[in-house]
Amino acid sequence: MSKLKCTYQSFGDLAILVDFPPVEDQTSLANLLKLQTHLRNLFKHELEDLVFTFNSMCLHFKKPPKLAFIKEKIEHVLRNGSHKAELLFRKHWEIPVCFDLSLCADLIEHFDGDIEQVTDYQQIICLQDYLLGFYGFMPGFCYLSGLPKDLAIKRKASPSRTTARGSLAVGGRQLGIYPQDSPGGWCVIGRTPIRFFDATKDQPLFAQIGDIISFKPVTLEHFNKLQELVDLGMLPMKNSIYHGDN
Amino acid sequence: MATIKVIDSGFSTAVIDWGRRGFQSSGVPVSGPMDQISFKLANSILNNFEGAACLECTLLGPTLQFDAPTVVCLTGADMEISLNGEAEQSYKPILIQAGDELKLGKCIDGVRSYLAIKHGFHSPEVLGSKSFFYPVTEQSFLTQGNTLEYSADDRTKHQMYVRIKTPDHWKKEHLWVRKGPEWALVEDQIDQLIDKPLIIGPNNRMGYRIESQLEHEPTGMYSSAVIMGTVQLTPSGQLLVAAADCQVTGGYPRVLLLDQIGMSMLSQKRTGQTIYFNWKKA
Repeated sequence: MSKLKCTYQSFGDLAILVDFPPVEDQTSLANLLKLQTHLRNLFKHELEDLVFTFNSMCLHFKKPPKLAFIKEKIEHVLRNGSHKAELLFRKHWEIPVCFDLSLCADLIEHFDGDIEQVTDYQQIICLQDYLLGFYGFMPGFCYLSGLPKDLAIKRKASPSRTTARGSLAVGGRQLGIYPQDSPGGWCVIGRTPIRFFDATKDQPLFAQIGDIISFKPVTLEHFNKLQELVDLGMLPMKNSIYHGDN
Repeated sequence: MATIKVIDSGFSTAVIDWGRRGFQSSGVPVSGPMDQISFKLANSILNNFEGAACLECTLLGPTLQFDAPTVVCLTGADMEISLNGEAEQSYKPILIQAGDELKLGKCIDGVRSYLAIKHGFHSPEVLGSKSFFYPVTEQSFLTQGNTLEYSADDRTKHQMYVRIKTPDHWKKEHLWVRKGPEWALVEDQIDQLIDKPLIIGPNNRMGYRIESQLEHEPTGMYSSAVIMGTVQLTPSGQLLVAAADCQVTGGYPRVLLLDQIGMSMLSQKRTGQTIYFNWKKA
């Protein structure tokens, strides 16, 4: 991996924003995850949080940081490549998703009512594995990478008032799952009964950054049954240890 | 543990502490106080820990009944306050006895007031914070009949309290701004934004909407970090100022940035009021 080209700027009094070219392939993204782990460790006494996306990192500090100092530290890490440790204990989650036509009005609209194209699209979505890149937007909203270029769908001109909890949606080249009902500007292609965020648990998120996600189609009837199990606090799906590291 | 009974919940009253720090990477908003200055002052006056949980009372305050002695203090917006029917003052400690009823009324000026209590309110902590934020916590606001726990303190009469001059930061209309990460996008149209009257639109703890005449093409940028005070610009020209419960990442250009003081000032403004953005000198 060639050295990540970063630009640095202060973002308010307590944060530093680091921008870099969008990371789209899984290998680079995996390296980015390692960099994140490394930086969390390096600045463990100073950092309050580290929010990263496909083309940026925002380092939130407890006290006002010195931009030049932090920049030099990060550049040092990047030069030495010392962040290229292995990602351990990654899991592969197979998420049940219902692609019933009653749950994907957005996609039907996108294809001007051509149902054949809709179901083709949904089938191709299920053939890929996706990398859980980061969480953002709202509690437990996961951003997945790995969507082929030709499957990208632009954001809506104006967001819909409500996107249902569990909606699997496409925003540009990003895939995401809405953890709760919310306004949303992405194109909904199906719905999962799985809850991605549960604040009553010590670990509110079951899927970790760096995990692999794939989708298993289920019928509407099965979806409703799974939804009942989820409401009882269960996680009705398969997971396995992921071995195929980049 | 002593208990407060919520006789009337007011318009929207929430338990708020310094916030849920360190969970933004799970998509969880910080949910600290909107007016950080008034919040800190309320705790300072009672010699509390700076981030102790207060009640953030919006527009119309709650009526509370206490079952044990303590001391409370109200800061922020100019809100009517009375103890057992007798008028009391903001920015001063108010001694409470068992059975007392504290009534917060209308906001005469400003929007949000902060009621601090000695040792802080003891509502349950979720992800390291007591701040209300649904669905991380079960409720967004107090409702009638709720109870709040606190540590009784009957030595309050003999303690020292901080005396301060009543601040007026929140009455000001001129807010300092700095350039945001995508500032360059509107650089040519800047005279429409700086030192010009701007009218406040709909708002809540997630953010403030402000209409503008600025235009830009949709950029299709990747989502990136948003912090409290970030001013995003939508293609239709609406400015979205991120507030205490703001999204942790967003996809609209971040053209300006307000600081803590600016956000404290903005938090005390209502829909229809006028503000000005002025450059903050470096």
